[in-house]
Amino acid sequence: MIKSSTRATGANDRIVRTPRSGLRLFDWIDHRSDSFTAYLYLAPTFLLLLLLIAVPMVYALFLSLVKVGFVQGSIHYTFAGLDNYIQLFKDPHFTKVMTKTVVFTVAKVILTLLFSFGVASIIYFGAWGSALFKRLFLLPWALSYVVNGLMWKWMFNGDYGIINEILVRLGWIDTYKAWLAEPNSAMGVVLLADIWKSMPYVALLLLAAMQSTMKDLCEAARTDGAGTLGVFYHVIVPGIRPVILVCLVVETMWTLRIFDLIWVLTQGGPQYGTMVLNVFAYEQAFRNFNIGYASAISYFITLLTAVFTLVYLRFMGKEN
Amino acid sequence: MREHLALRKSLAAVIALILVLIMAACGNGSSNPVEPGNSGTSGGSVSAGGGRSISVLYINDPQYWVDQAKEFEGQTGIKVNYVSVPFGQLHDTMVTAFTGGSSDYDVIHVKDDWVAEFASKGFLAPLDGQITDDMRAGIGANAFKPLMYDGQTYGVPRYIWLTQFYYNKEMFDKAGIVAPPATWDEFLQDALLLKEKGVVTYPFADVMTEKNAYANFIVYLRSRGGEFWDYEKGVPSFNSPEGVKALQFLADLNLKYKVMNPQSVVYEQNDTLDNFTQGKAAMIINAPHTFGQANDPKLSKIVGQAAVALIPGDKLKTASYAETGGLAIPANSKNKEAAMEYIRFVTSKEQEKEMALATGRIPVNKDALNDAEVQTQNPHFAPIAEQLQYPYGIFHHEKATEITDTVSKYVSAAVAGRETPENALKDAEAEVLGIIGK
Repeated sequence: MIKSSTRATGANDRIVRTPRSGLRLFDWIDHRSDSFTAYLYLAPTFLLLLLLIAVPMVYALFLSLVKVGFVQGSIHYTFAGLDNYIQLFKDPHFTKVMTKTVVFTVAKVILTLLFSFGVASIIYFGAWGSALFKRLFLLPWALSYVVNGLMWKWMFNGDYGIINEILVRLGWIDTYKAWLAEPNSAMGVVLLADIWKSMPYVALLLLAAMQSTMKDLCEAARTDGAGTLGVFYHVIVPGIRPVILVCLVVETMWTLRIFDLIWVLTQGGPQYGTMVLNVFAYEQAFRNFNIGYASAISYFITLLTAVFTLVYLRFMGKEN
Repeated sequence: MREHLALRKSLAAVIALILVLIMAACGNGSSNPVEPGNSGTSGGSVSAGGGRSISVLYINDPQYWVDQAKEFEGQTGIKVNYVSVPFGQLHDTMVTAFTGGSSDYDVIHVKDDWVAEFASKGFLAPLDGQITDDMRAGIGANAFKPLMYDGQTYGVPRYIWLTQFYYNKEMFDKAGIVAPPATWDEFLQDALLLKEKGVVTYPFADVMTEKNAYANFIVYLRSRGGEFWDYEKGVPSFNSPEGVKALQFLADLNLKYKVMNPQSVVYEQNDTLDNFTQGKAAMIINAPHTFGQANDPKLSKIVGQAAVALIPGDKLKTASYAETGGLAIPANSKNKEAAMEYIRFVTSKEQEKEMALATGRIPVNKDALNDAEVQTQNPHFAPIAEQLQYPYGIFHHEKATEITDTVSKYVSAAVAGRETPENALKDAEAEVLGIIGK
């Protein structure tokens, strides 16, 4: 549209079309089709996406199919086929790491969704304190994963952590406990820290879905005699189902690629107690120099994400 | 038409911006490694001011390291871009740079095991040709050995990170203990006494984490006559009766006698040091910075109470574990000449003395170590000579980090009571053999 209106103009057009070398390129562009111009405008973004996403992905795929060695400071590749992938399944720690990854992902996604639902409902129904809550609940989301990890690490510190102090004063424990020194409690701490950080985003999505689509339906249901619980179960939950699906998919993807929070809190320990696939991949790449193997693990995570997403779509996406 | 012109201008601006970004990205760093034998063709990259510049990847705690770099700048005019990361992240930061073919760093910190790990892959430049006779005479040929690989020198030693036994004299007095323990049996008796008399809840704190437990485990192992590695056969030797005895002792300190702080399984060196300086532990096995921090009124509640002794022994009178902290030049560095100037400066006798006075680290330069002022200010240097007569070398191997991470996981599990010492060492040995392909 812009181009045709340009061509229709008079005097100014002549000025632009003077054969100055700097403008020849634009004159040439002017004579292309609209779709060509559109692609041209999109080209920088495509180029960036290509450089920042596609190239590393293709390179990582290549790395996952080779053995990477270092000779005199140079990288040497030896084609290995699917050896790196087979190595993953033969790894003595695979079962443990895989179990922790699935347990962590499922627990985190479900609990985040439940708590977020609670937070969104408190704000939506205007419960006591909801005004203040509305202003504060996004704060955890604003923190970086590293800061979040350090904060929880201090709070759960076995020597001077405030959580220990509170629990001792409440009489729930006798002495300070080393929460991050036991596999199960360490997993609990990591889950808590991650849920606390992820909850605001999910709650915000759910709240937006509730507020944008529900009011008329809720009022109609109430007019028909439905109580608060009736409105909740029969109107709100079915109404926000598509958003729940989005939350599930996004949260699963983010959870499967968690690294920094776990690295700060436990580095995957104790005894693989919090060792999820992404942390395992980091250890293989940057502590053990197994670059090809680490790339294969990364691609396995991608595959796992796709499986999770397909399962969600299979069970929840039918109606949407 | 005006809209069209504006759009064309914005298009031109976007294209220009993208080109600038791409050029900037391509211009930063190089993926063409310099052959390890090449000492570099340029003396240092030219900074905006026309002078040379180098990038140093090191720690910034204490501040002395940064101040020293500034002093070097002032004296030589070579600009130092000081990149600091916490020690725990140093290894992974370097691995990321090396594997990416980066030439970002000109001087890096190395220790014995990292030299074997990095030099075997060609990531470090050999320095034999650049090390002067004066340097060798001042530092001593033996001090260079830990930083050699395959007959070539890849690092210039700066200090010895020697593990020593520190105790709180006042707490010992309160418990009626007159002398530091000479054996592990005496150590246990003293710990039980300190606990029984209520002087301190956990008399001892140690580093038993899943990344670093191996180091102090080696100390206990050696004093019982064992060794971590059989270098002749190239296989682990920690799974031995001495190893089981040492690990059982550690587990008992925590689980049976409850004299070791149970937090030890998550304590790094600085955590045990904090425990000691805050008066929560009467005994620790730690590095040379202990003494300085214990006597710093800003950081310590036990000023004037810390003392040092030989690490207790068993079959051997004592044993220890010491890293040689040194400086190396990555093979990909474009500024090797200026980097070497920096290394010569910071390892000179004068700077070594300054370092010992400012940080309490043990200098490798013999004159600096024997300097009267240095000895007076650092009473913890007194037992060094005798301590170093007994085994103290660090474990080194091309896959050192992977091996020590593995062993530390099992040692930590045994100390926490999740595995028996026998099973822990057996499983650790099997896994290490898998790592080295035997």
